[in-house]
Amino acid sequence: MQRLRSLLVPDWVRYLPGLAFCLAFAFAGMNLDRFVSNYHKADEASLAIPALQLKLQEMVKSGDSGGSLLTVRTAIEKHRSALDKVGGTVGQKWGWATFLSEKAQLKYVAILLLGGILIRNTLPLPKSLYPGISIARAIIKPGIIILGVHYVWADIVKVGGVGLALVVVFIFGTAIVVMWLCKKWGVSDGLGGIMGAGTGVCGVSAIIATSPVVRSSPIEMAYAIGTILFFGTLMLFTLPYIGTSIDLSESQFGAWSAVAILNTAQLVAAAEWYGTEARDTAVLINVARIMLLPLVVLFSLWFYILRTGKLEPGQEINKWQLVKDKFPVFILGFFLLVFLNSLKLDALGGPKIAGSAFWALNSVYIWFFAVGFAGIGLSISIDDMKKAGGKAFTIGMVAALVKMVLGLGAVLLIGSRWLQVTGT
Amino acid sequence: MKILVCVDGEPHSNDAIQRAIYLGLTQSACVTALHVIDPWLKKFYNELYSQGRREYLEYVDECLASEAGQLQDRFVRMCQAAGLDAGFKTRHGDPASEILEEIGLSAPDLLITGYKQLTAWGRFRSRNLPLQLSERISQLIPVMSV
Repeated sequence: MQRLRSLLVPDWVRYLPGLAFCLAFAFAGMNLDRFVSNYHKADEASLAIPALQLKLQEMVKSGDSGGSLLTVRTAIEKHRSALDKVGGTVGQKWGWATFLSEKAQLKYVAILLLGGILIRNTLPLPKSLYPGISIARAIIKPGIIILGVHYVWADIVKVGGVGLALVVVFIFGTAIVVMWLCKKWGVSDGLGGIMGAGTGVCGVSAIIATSPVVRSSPIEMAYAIGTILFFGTLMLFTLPYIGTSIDLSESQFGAWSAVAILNTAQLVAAAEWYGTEARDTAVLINVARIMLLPLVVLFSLWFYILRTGKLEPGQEINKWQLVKDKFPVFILGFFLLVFLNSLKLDALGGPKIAGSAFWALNSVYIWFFAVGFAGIGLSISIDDMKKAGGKAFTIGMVAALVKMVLGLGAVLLIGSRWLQVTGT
Repeated sequence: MKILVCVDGEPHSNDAIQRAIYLGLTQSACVTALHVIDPWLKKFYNELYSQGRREYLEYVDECLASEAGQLQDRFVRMCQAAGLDAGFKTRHGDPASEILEEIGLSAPDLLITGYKQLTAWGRFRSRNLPLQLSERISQLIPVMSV
């Protein structure tokens, strides 16, 4: 019992109300998604059934073979089942559901993010919920580990290889250019360091890893965090619509969001919102992106402290320990599942083999994402984004715009084939 | 007479300190400075991929404590130079709530805060703390914005 207790953080109870709230909100969001999706499918079925029945009659008259008749009959049955789910009949219309699902793209991600932002910024939430809400975001991590079952080594080599090249160019490119320009323009080392890492690697997470190394002041951290949150949130809600309007394929969008969106939580959300293929590509490239975090912190250390001889006398820095401390260990879980999936073991099955271990894992990942997205939505506070300002705002805006435009150009040049995850 | 003066290191809060010192000397009032350490930065320690959380929290604590120490030193020096014996308090939390709590606890007769002419954007960003405080506190005690 004592050993079990030692596994828990001392004040774990204070996280429970917020976590329970996120779980309840995720449950409501997922059910609302299913509700809209059911009526959308019924609306499509209501239109499709008469046309299919007519086609069936013509096929019977012209004496078509059993195979094609069976295909049409199966399609009619599928549509009938969609109508039955909402208790509807042929001829009824649910245009609102089609609008919400297709035009407004109201999927569970959007419901949880927009709903969360609305709740957080308009309702007087009790403060007892905040600790749990803040840690709910991290629940996406087990979801990302589980997503490892969607990949095989061939994907890692192909998409991961292209992604790594993209990430190295964009992440290191952004970090180095931002830090160098900040130095040139007389921006303090504390702000230049965290803005370089923040706009380059993984947003607020990178600021947290880098700020103690480059000794940023609280006001610099506040400016940088507010700026990254502002542009990350702005890109989360604009990139999916830009992608749709220019007919960007899902895999291209996944790669674009993975290199362009400043904050990693927002990029996972944007890609999941765009589609499953977009998510698979984005998650893989994002894994490559966050793996570079320790190296960018190390670069900041060299650029601001070691290179300029600012190390205090007697102060020693263990670089290997620094890399170890900043390495996101959970990624190893992701690669373990990729490895196991690549072995194609009968005992584990696959995400599409019903009843297998990997199929079971795959069916729960969405709940981890849902609770995480509920946490992200409920954490986005306009008050936090209002801290954006000063030079950090200009740096963040320029970096976000440049990454967005160059990233789009790069994924358009690369094309879908090299960015598509096959999972086989 | 008890005077509570809010300090945050900004130039306008220095003006508030000067006014508090003046009133302390002329009215023989007991002056206490209050600095609220806002732990806003700490809530981001648990970002999705954040690494080195403990180091970050310790660093933020160290920075905030150092800022509070510098403020206290400056306040003490200003009071000593004027020949006033004054107190300094620090609290942790949301500035507006903590100031209200301190007022409830120490029951001052006058609250002095610094006031900076803000642009519309500035007012939006800062939630216009002095105005907020004035509205909430003026029913309890007189508030002087300097």
